[in-house]
Amino acid sequence: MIRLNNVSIAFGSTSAPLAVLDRISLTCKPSQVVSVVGPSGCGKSTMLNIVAGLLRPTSGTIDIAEGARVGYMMQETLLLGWRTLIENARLGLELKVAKHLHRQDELLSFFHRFDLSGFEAALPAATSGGMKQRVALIRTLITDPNCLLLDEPFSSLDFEVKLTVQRALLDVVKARSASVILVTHDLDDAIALSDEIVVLTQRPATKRATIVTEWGLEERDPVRARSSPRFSELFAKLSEAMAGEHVA
Amino acid sequence: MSLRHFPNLRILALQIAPLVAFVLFWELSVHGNPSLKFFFGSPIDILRDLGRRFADGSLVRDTAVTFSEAILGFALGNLLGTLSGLALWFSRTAMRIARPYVIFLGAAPIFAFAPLLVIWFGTGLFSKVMISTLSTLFIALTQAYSGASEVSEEHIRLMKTLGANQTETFRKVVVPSSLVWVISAFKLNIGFALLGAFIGEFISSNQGLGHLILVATGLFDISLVLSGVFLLCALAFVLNFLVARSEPILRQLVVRYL
Repeated sequence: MIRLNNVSIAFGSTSAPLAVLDRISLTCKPSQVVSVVGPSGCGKSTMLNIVAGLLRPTSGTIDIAEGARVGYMMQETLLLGWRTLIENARLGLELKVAKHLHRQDELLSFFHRFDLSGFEAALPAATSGGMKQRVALIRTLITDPNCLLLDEPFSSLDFEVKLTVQRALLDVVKARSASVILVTHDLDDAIALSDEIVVLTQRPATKRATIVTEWGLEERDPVRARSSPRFSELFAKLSEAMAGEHVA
Repeated sequence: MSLRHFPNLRILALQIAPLVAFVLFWELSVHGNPSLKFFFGSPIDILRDLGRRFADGSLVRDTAVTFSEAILGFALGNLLGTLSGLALWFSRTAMRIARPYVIFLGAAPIFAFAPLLVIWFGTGLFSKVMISTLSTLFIALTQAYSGASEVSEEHIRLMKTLGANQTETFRKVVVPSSLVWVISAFKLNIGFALLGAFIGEFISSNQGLGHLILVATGLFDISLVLSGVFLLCALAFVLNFLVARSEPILRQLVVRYL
């Protein structure tokens, strides 16, 4: 469970502050995916940095269930150049906070599932942006987080791979009852994956609209959701909201 | 089949050619000209000197003495310098306080202290190791310090998101990403470690290549001086090879065990 209560943040001096987020509230329950969309540069990444504890909000609070493990996948993959792909994916497991987890088998099955088999020993410099992004996602998922913050996690993936990865993500959400906040610019992804979509305005970002998807259990799949007749309905609603009209 | 089919062999042949030409030119120029030979020595004399000294065991002893002084100083200086340079990463304040000192000491001509070190540590092996240590330490420190201060902030943020503490960030990110700097310090320090040992021997010693060169200079035995120089170069070559070889091993060790 992740909850933001009236979170605001401003940068710069106190005399001339640059307001970035203005009283954002949202709730992400267990097993829920909440997408955050909005114009680029509006402060979506800043919001995730606040939830992850890297930034302190100017006002407002963050509630995260006690004992929750937060996994944050930042927009840049930030793979360590001196480590192979599998060593990069394992990075979190080598730390004290996750040393008790033994995930070697899962690591390999993720590599297989994400179509990375055979590239375990490759160095990041020799791989494509899409591969690096998948490794960064494995690095985030492998430490068993139940609060996931994902910043444009599919931006470099081609469609085929993206669907596989999204399916795996939804499996993880289901298996661990994880709460996911997903920042994306891709409206299709936002609709297909989310229970709720939060639309932000230009900076300073305020919440413009919240769209609830209400997917049925059998539609909870990146492909089936896209082929559902409600998909285009939601898409229209979302683009309207993005364009500035308030949606009740 | 011509050499063209073996590109490595061809390069090797081309690499050796200038040396052969130079040695031939040298030998032919001084051959039958005693005054030129007196000033410049001759390749044949050098070979003869090396052979003779190898046979009586003094070549191996002198080389081994200088080598052990240099390698001990190299190891000690690099170890202490690298560790303290990297450790400065832990405190931004310490880093800023240390900055002018690091720059100043990095630029200091350590060899100027060499006579002092002989007074402090005696005329034996220890003083040479100390000179060698001091002449490598500050380069290692400066390099490690630069490496540690240029660690990507983004990577440090990544470690935070993964829940790493400061020590873990140091081990997993700071040390490996500074490795390029540290290894370049090793490469630079090969020459300085040898020079340190050599200067120590030059000031006071009864064995080692510095001693050999000093004595030979006194006797105006140019060929013997050049034999000593040749052996020093050979030592540098061997050390270079060892450092180059250790680089990938070190890299792997750091990733695997740190």
